[in-house]
Amino acid sequence: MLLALIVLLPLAGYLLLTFAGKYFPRSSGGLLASLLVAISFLLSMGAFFMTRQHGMFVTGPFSWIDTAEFRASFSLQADSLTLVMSVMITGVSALIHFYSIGYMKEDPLINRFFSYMNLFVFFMLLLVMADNYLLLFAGWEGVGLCSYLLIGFWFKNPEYAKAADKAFIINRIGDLGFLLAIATLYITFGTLKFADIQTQLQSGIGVNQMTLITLLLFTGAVGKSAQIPLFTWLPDAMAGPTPVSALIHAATMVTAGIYLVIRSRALFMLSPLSMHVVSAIGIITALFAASIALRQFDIKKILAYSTISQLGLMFFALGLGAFDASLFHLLTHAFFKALLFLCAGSVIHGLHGQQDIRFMGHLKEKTPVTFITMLIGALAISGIPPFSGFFSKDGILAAAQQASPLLWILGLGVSLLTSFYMFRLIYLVFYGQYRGETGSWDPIHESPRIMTTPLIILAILSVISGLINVPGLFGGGEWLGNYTGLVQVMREGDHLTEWILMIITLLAVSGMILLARNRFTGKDIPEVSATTTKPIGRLLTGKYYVDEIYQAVITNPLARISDTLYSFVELKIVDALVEGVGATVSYLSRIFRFLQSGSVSFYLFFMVVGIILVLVLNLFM
Amino acid sequence: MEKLLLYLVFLPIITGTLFLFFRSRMARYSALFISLIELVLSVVIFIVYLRDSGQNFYVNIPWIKEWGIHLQLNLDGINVLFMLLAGIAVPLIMLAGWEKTYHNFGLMDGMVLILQGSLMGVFLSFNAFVYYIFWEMSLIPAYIILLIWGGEHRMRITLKFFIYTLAGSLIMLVALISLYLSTPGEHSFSQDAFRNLILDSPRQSWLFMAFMLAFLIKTPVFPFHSWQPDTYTQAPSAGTLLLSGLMSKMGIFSILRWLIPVVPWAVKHYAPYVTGLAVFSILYAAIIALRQKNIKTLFAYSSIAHLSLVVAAIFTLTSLGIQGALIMTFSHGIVIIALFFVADIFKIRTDSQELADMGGFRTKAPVFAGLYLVVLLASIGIPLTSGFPGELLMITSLVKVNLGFAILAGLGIVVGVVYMLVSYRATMLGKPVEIPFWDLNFREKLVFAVMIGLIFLVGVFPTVFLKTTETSVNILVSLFI
Amino acid sequence: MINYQSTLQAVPLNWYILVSLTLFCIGAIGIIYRRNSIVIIMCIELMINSVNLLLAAFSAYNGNADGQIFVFFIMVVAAAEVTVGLALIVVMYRNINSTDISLFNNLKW
Repeated sequence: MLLALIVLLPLAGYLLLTFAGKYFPRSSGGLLASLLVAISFLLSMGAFFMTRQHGMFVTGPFSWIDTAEFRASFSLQADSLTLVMSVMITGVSALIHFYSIGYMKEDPLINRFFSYMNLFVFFMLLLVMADNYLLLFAGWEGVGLCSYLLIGFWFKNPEYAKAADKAFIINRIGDLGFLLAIATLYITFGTLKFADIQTQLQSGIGVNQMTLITLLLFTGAVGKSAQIPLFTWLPDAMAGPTPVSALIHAATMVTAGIYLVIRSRALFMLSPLSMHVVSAIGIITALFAASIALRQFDIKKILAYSTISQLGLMFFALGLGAFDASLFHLLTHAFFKALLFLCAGSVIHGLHGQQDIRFMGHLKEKTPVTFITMLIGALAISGIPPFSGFFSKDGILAAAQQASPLLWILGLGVSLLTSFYMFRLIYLVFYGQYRGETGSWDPIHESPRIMTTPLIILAILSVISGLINVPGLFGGGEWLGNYTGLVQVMREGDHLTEWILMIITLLAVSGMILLARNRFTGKDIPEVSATTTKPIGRLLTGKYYVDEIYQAVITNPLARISDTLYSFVELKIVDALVEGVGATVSYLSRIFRFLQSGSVSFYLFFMVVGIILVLVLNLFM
Repeated sequence: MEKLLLYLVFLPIITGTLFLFFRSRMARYSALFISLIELVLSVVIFIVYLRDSGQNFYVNIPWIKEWGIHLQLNLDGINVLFMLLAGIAVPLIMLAGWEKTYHNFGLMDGMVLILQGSLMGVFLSFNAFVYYIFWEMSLIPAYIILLIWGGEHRMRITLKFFIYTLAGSLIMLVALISLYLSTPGEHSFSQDAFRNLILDSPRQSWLFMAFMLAFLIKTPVFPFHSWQPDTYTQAPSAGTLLLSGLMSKMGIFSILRWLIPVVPWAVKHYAPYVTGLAVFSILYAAIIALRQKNIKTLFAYSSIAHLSLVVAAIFTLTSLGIQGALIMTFSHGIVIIALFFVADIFKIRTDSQELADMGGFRTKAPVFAGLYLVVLLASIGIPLTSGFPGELLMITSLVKVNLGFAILAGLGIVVGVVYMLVSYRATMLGKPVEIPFWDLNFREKLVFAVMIGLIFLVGVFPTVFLKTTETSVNILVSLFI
Repeated sequence: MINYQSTLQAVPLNWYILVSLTLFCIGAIGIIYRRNSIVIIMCIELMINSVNLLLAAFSAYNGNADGQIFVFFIMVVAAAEVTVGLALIVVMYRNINSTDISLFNNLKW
């Protein structure tokens, strides 16, 4: 019952705001939505504390599809993994909702915005609380839908609408993989419930079957969590309002892919090939996206590529078997990435719409709260102790090191790039000289309290959330790992090596920060004053031209095929055959009509000839 | 209980014929009233069947004994959803076109009712000859509606539609007569007699070809589909709604009723080819739809794609596939009517069906935009809408049979998402075009509300509908195990 | 009794067939080539009579009376048919003032 309430409250918010929206004065719609999510958060916390005594929660089953051959139900479950996720989701969502009350204040369609946000939270909670793959898929598609609605929220701009379409379509491609996975799961196991599938795994299923299923599931995850090759929608999704980017594209929806893999870990562990694929794609995406972030100038795009990169790290950890490290990083990342996005929103809000960091600078004077919180976020993501990112990244790097030193180096590489581009952002935005238009300096202001308070809360969380899973190295109890049962027992490595590597990492990262400071604070910053001429710079700024490649390889040929199919095949072949039949009949009739010459002697002639023929033929039969 | 099916078939035919002679608007009200009676009747029958499928609905009225032609009607798991659809769709179609003025209302609505009656006859009939009579009977009202109120090129296009469909049907007639002559002893046209026939392979093969030709033309499936886009585009809105929502289901229904139980060997033998052809048809139609500039043509190709998926699923010859196909057909009936209603709304407001003339209407008509989006989501099979259970079951059945087909079919669905979203964006999003576009009035909202209500009903509670089909589908599939 | 049959059989049957055939062909060609409708009717009569001749000849040579009785039937039918045919020609003449069949070509394509 409790679970149903947690999930349905935001849905109620959506329904109220959609159907009775005009009765709500502009300001209260947002308040209602935020409060509903906040109540869900409190209920989640309650459920979280209660499970220590009561074990797992279960609701349902209300039958959904029930035929002799296929059964799936609307039933919810809340085990430790689900509860951790739902606490995070409702908590961060509530904060972002409150923030949005300030951010979206001037927008005439604000109530619709909140209705979509609430709908999103509903679907996301459905996703994490589902007890079977089908309901998870329902939530999965639902968040994709809300993402489309929210990205394209300012629909009057055709570019934004296109971005929304792109997100939905690329997601859908991934979802096809997921759908096929569900079909294969059902055919193999006869059920879609997580618990039932777990029990059946004991009896041994072929590795090939497992590989197929897990690769298909991973395809869905790749689409949803923006990994290579289905990531191009995420940077474009920055067209949506910044709270949307914070909620959906940092903290929640994109993490659904990670959640799916963690939830299916028993399946993945049976297929070494899939695990390798997951890791490989994870680390490649992480490096790739981080390198692009080095050269982006839009504050939100930097954060978008950063998200893709961090998600890549999480998949990297998953593929190595370090499910607890991945989950840990998911949680800490949710906090500091949401924080970073909201700070970016605060900056944009304060600068009345400016998003290009080349036209910012010296803002620490005007927006101190935003500055400090964003700095905290940057430190967290760079992995500086004692901020949370340090502990969560360390978990991932430790797992990498145990698998192979090369992987650790790659992971380190990602960390280095991360700290570099992050502090590039910080220095260019908050330090140095202001580079905006003359006259635009004065109106810059700090954001109102309703926006800065969530920033402060998230900043605090970014600092302390490291405590939830302090690794054994520091004498901590690895609470999160143990609570969720994800800890891999084999992972105890050589403590000395771990310390050494950690210190190396720390030093390298700090070095990158200082390097960034050198480059980006000073009188003359090369990349903002002159247009980049070096080819590698252009390659990175142009995002490796991936969008253009997709356009040339997929979109344009498809359009040409469509045109050809229509104009040539459809009109000239298929239709021509049909019309051809008619044309043939007309042609034949034009020939045969000459038999009707009207001349009686002509008819008589043929009559006689005919009769003679009949007689003659009769003779021969 | 027993005679109810008779009312279902003959009430609209008789009253429809009557109404043909009245011209005034009163005829509309009376026709709507009759269609509502049909609606109530079909829903009641559905619920009775749901509760207790053993109920005896069998009607057997001897007609021409010497030739085994009797009026045999019955209800079973295969036709119950089609009957329900025919009952529900017609009042919606009438309400959808309520504001339009015709010079002769009785003619239009009378024809609609006659069409409904003949479709009920097709779906409920268990005697092959009577079935054929109703099958051909349905062409006449369709032809007249298209011809009198259609678009610019209606004469040529309607003629093409009529002759193309008729050609297929005539070949089917030959097959039916051949089957009749094969029944032992005193020949009979009844479906039971046909099912019990055991025929040799060559015979089954050509019978299969003959039937499939007719049904592939009717559905339509590549490569026999070329009549459809032009016909749907040129038809008046009521005509398109009827054609796409109801008449397209005749072919699918007939495959299940008259093809599979009668020539099982041939069905099993040729099934992979038909599935392959249907899967190709999905992709073909979807890719062509991508670049269509006329919204009705776009929806027409979309309909071809969806129904091709249904055909592909049927020929997997699994219970999953056929049940998925049945519920998808029901959902498609509602959704395609909703989509063409959307196209009609565009026509009423802007007097155009070209995407180029439209844009940014969401600012002027937010309610319409929202409802259009929901219908769009149902069309692409988002969970919790009616399109999803069918799609899920069908894809699962395809995976069971051939993963490659499933992937291709899935790609077809993905392409479907693309053109649906692109057309939505072209019409509703972006900068508003300078055309007056008013939001929905009460009647239009009501029609949408009913359709969307049904969409969610079937999406959230598909079990209700699936359960009714289970037994009959299992009997059908047991022929192939 | 005088033996009629042997007298009749003095002329070989083949000659009768040939004559009949010739008459038939003349009639057939006349139908095809002649334009005057009365002449066509005369040709039709010619063909009929050639058949009569053939029938009578065969019946005489086989000693079987059936053929000759058939000839009576044919003559009656021919008479009736000529009546109708001439009536048609009268109507035709009243319409186009001629008996030329090549003027009768309104049912053209």
